[in-house]
Amino acid sequence: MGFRSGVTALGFMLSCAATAAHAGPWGIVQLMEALAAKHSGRAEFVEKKYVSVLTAPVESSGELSFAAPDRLEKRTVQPLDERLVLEGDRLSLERGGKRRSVGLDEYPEIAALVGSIRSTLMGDRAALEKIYRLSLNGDARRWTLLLVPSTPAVADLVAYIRIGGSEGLVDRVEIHQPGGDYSVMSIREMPQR
Amino acid sequence: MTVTRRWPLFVWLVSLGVFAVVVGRMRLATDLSAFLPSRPSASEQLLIDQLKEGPASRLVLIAVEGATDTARALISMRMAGWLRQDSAFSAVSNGAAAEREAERQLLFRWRYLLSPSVTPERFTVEGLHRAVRASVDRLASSAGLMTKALLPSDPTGELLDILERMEVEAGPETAGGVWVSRDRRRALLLARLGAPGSDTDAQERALASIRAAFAAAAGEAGVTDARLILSGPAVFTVEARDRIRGEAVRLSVAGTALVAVLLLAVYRSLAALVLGLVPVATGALAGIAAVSLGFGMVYGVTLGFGATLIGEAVDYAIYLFVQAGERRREEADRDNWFDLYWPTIRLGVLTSVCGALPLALSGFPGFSQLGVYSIAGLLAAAAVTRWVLAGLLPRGFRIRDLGRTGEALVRLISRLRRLRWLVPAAAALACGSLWLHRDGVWNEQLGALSPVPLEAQRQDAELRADLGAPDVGCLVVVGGRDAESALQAAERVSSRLAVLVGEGVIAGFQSPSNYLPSLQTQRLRRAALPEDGVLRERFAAAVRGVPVRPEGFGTFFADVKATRAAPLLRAEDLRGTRFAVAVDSLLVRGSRGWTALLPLRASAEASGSGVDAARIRAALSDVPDAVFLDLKTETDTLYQRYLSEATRLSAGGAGAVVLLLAFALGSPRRVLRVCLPLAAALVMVIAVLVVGGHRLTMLHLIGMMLAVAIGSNYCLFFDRLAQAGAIGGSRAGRTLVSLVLANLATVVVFGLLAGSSVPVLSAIGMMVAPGTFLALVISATYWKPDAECAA
Repeated sequence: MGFRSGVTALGFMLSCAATAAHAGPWGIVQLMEALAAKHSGRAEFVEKKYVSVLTAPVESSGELSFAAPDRLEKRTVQPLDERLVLEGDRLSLERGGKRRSVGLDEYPEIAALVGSIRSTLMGDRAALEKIYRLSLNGDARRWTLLLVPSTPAVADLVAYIRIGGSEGLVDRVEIHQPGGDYSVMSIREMPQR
Repeated sequence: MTVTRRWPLFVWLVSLGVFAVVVGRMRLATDLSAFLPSRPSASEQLLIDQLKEGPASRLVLIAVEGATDTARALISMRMAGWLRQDSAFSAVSNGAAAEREAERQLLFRWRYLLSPSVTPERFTVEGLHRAVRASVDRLASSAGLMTKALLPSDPTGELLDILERMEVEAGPETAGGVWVSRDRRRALLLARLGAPGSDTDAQERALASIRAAFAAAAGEAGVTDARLILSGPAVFTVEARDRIRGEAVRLSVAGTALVAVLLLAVYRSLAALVLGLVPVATGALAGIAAVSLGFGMVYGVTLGFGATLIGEAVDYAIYLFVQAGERRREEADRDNWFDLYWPTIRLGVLTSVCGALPLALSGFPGFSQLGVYSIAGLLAAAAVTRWVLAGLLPRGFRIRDLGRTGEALVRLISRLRRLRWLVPAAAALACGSLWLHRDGVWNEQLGALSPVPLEAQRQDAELRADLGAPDVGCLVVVGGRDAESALQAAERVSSRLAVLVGEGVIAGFQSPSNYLPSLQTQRLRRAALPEDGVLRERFAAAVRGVPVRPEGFGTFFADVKATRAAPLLRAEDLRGTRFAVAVDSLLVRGSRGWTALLPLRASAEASGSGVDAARIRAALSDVPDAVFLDLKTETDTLYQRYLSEATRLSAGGAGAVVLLLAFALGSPRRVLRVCLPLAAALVMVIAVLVVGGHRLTMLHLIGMMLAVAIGSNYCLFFDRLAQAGAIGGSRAGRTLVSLVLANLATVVVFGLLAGSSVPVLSAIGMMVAPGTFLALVISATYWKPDAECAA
């Protein structure tokens, strides 16, 4: 699996380089604009984690919501109840009636993972470029954004993050870790209430 | 000089020698205990132990502010690095990730002895299955990708259990890799001193090291606008010592100097000045000697009150010199003076003693020292004035003729008389405004008594909140013969508290046994770990049906095996980590054995109302000796108890003064003539203080008694003058001069105290200086000079 994803990543990187070369009407600038145009949203997610020590992926599901300027909430319902809220530079995790709230920079790992999802949903290119090199592949109808860590600290934790979507909607987030473990989160937009 | 005159002189000289020896051998105490109760209950004792000697007394809270975020973080890093090398500190934390990592490794290494989940059941096939299943489920969490690395070595999730239980999140926020305050404007560090709280010199040296480290770090960071803030008991102790020591000397010297200048200006005679200070000096020596003998040591604050005695004892010589006449016939005049005025002065001394008696009987050693000091000092000063000073006066001794000043005063007072309606009006106004402010008269916080300035107290509270140092609102205390039995007791309490956490009665708690389980518990946990072969067999059976690869758990087996063979966790193993600090502050050696403290955290819903004390007490009912303490309530009760004690004693003192006057004066009218001006003066001073935003503490009450002690003398003299028959016009004038001079001396000395930065001293000064002045003025207003001398 690790090998396959590695090859895919390489392929993506090459094609992204190609995209960047002939900057057409669809580029990172346009993507970020499209993403930033959306100020809030709710979606269902299903996340599968593929971990080498396990023989089968661990699946979890729940609801994802975000609201401009900087709030992202991930509510897991299955297999355990958990609520993760990222707001400003505070991260709080509530599980089993216990809630702990920490500064984001206390947990650079979470900052790298959850923060990147938030930054993408917000179309915050500057925040993304602080920790990642960005490259975009595909067209507006079907695009893939590849985030490769540019700092060693994050690189210890994340090999790369691949975010897929269509227009201003994100529908898939893959997080690949060094060593081959990875998680895939599929997101399905829910109608706005 | 006659033979009878020599005897007192001889007695005086011998006493001086004795006093000097006692004073030379006295032990000066500079810690903060002067204003802590001397007869505490068990729970108060705990509070006091913590303040005086406890590990909490060794914490230094450090903040760096100013400059830039980066510079502060850099300074914090450097300071922590240097201070960790310094043997004066047993631990230094600044929240650096490296520190957390070391602590995590420590927890990881000892996880099978630290985790309460380690029981024989946990290591059965069924128990292992459940634990591994839970660990796999944990991977589904958002934190899963981070915790997954633990799975192969810790499939039962012990480390995560421990971390959750330890509430490590209770630390401060971090930015730039170091602790910062909530507003991000300060970098925070926490240092723990090696020396106990009572070693003020060592504390002072350690604080100097911190300042030096800061200066060096700031220099290295190339910033000049960074500031260092230090707080904590050690800082307070050192500062209080310096300040009290400084003020004691400064105020005594300044008071003496000012009074000397004043007297010299009036007497125009150096001999008179020197002789006038003889009773004062004798009184001060006698006072210190009495305190030293009675208490075994003298508080620095008590010496600071040396000044107060000058204000009062100098009066006796003033009365003698001024009233006994300036010209001719000194001997006869003086004897005459003794006959005429000594009864009045004697009564004045006795009322002063009654006024100081409540102090001597107070439950706060600082106050009772002050009381004993005043009583001994006054008695000695008066006795020296009466029997020694007269004998010391050289033949032909004279001071400047004050007759004309006296006449001027008499004229002034007769004019004042027209304004006497102002007194009841002002008193009524004062009573009225006190009634309006009646809810804000008393400061009911114990902290009000603290010699630590308010600003420093506020800053300390702020830093404490920022550092997330648990505000010790509620805690459970349990004791034991030795550390081991205290830890075992703490574990029994923990198990009850865990149930309460589950029921939501409290949000959480800390226990020393979380960081350092008792040896008994550790042995049980170690015994619960199966032997290697058995464990492998059970594990293989347990993970059937769980999607894990059974071959990936080599480190788990190796770690369990190693724990079975390794020694148990000891306090030494924690050294250098925050866990050591936690254990040290939660497991304390007391006078009788060891005490474990378990601070509680109120649940969010219960915020404001605190915790449900009844339910906690009920839950602990079957743990012998476990005591639930609500420190806020406890300290409030403590303070209220002492406040009411002080009120009772003051009322008793006032009652004694009235009784004494009634007995000595034998006429209700005369008693009223003495007491009413005093009462009116005090009411006015209190009203002005309260309306001006001051809240009264016990210290003001004490000041009130001193004002009564001193002011009553003036009133008594006016009463004596009112019994005018025997007193000629010029005598009345001279008496007035002596009273004004005496009061000026008092106002000067206590006015200096009022400006002191030590709250104890300033509160008393604020009360006495205006109080005695008003008492004099009001008494004077109601005095009717004889027509002839008014002319």
